[in-house]
Amino acid sequence: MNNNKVLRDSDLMALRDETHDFAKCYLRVAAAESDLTGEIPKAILQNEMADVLSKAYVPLRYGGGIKIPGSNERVECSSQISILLTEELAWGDPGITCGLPGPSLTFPVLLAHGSEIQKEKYLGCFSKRPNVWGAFATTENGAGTDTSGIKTRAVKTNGGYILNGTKCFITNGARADFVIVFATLDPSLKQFGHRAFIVEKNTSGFSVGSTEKMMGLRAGCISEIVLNDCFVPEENVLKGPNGKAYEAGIRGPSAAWGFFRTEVSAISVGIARAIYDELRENYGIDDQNLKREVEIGRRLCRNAACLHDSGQPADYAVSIAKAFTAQLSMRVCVKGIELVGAESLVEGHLFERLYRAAKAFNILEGSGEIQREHICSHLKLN
Amino acid sequence: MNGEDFNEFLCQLEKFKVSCLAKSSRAFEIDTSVAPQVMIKAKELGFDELFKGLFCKNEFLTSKQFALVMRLIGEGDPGLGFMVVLPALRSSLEERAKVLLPDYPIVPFNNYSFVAGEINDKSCAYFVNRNEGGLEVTLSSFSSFDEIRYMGLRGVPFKRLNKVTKIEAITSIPKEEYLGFLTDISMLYQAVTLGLFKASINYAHEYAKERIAFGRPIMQFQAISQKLAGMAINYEKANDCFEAALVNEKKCFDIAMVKQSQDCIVSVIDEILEDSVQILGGHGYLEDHPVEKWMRDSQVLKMLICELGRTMEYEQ
Repeated sequence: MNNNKVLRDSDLMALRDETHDFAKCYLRVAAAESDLTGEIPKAILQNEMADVLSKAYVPLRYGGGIKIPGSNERVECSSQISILLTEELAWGDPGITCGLPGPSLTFPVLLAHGSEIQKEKYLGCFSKRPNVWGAFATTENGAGTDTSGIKTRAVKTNGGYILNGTKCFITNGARADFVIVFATLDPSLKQFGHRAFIVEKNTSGFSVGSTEKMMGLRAGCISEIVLNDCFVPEENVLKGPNGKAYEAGIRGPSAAWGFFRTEVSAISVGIARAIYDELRENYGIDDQNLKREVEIGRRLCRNAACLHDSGQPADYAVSIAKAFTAQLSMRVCVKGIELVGAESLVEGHLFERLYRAAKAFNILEGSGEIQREHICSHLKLN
Repeated sequence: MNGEDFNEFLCQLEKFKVSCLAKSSRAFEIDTSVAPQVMIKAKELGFDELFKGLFCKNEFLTSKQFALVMRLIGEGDPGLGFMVVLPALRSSLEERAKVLLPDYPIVPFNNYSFVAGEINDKSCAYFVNRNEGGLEVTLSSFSSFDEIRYMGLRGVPFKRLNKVTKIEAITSIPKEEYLGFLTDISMLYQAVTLGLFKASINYAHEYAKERIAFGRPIMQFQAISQKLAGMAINYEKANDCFEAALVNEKKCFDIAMVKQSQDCIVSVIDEILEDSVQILGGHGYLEDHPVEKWMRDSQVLKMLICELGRTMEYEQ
């Protein structure tokens, strides 16, 4: 990402502190209630900070970026800034972090494979009004990481495509204003038959199925999306910079995951840090091993984000960060529960909520096993 | 129980496990009235006397038979399993204290919120207290109680009793007998946990054989098969330790062996239950499958085993 201006360290720290205050005063306070209802309270959605964060990922030229604290200037939100803020938000509550408004995984796909008109419309919308959600839909019941197995069909028709199928595990699926849906022209072509479509929520034939009942992360509103003879006009097909629709179909998921896995790693670090801080501040336990592990997790995230920002290949570093931090957060949660005892297992306690949430991050956006496969296939030690 | 009778009993218990315990498992999380219904069913099947006498030294079951029964119940549902064998705890304390404790629920140890018995319409309970001369079983009153809902084993009557006041001493209980009582509870927890291990490994195994990714069952990927193998090794290791504590056929468990087995189970519990969710991937995280519930249950079981272990150490 090109940054004409960069944040000074002091500005970055001020931004981090602002985000931390927002996480502490709003996310942490609302977390237990959100975990029960699956809703995000209005107090959070109406907060200026939610609006600031929702367009942070969006490039400056589409009205996004991050506002420099104490000035009206904005800068591009690099991956390094983004993980810093995500860690603070996840410290408040990982479920609400996942459910906050914003483009989510649609942003890297739109940026890499959208036309200028599509970018103006679907990235620009985040700066034009508050509380806009984008969602990303590849996963199906029998096709998770193995995207080649998707069965949602796209059939060419006059002026566009007709989509039929069901997508599952869609974060913010029920809230999304638009969804990037991956469908296949012909399942026998595997990923070469895939195409990516932007489907708006009011489109005829598009509906939200059941919201998944999950162990944790309930505020993430993870839902099914049902496409029943859903017509998508030609202008909503992602065709990439060269007008080749198959490129978006093949590379879209990896573009999204490549960016977002670093974010997910930062969420895991935020969870681990929340446990460490709680132990230290409220139970008087300052476990230096936990502190060290959290620091290592953060450094691995930062390393992946640096590579990403500089445009270098980041797959290996991203997978290392995700594989390590997903297990780190579980380990730290279990340790916290062991140290505090029965009290921490009572429903509504921070530790039990984080324990239930932490497990998700070793599964979503590519499981720990898949990350290890990536690490092996990209293995090249410095 | 002789071998033939026991096998027949196990067949019936297996049916009870599937049709009652496992089937009511989710409902029990949100509706506590499920437990009495299951207990009525157990009574209809004639299990109640047998469950009540689980720890009796000269009745019904040998140590190994006891372990098999409890593991099977744990496989069905650990929370409901506790509910159906609660009368056994009362019988164990009665036998060891040589007194009948018929009227009120019992609180197995003072610093503990697990109440064995229905408490809703009662204002007294039996406690084991320490006095100058040793240990005694007392009848104590309490002003009120708070329900405690843990993230797992929902539905099990965990309660915090407020303003507990001793009314009268019922009898004294020798330290060895009280330790024996705690050991009985520990063996019950351990057997149920082993049942939970078995259920979750079997569930993950079946899923891994059926779930297709990249054109083949995920079981054929080393990342999955090695995880399953690791879970199986952990289970066998814990089970082996547990069985070593069962050498005495009359259920006089060796405390040192029980403690060793307890530690072994605690050391593998997180890995087994987390891996079973991991193998199911996103599906494992959903309430559509039981593994997420088992993972939550396992944390509470671990806490129960550890707290009991600490109490046993203290009493020793």
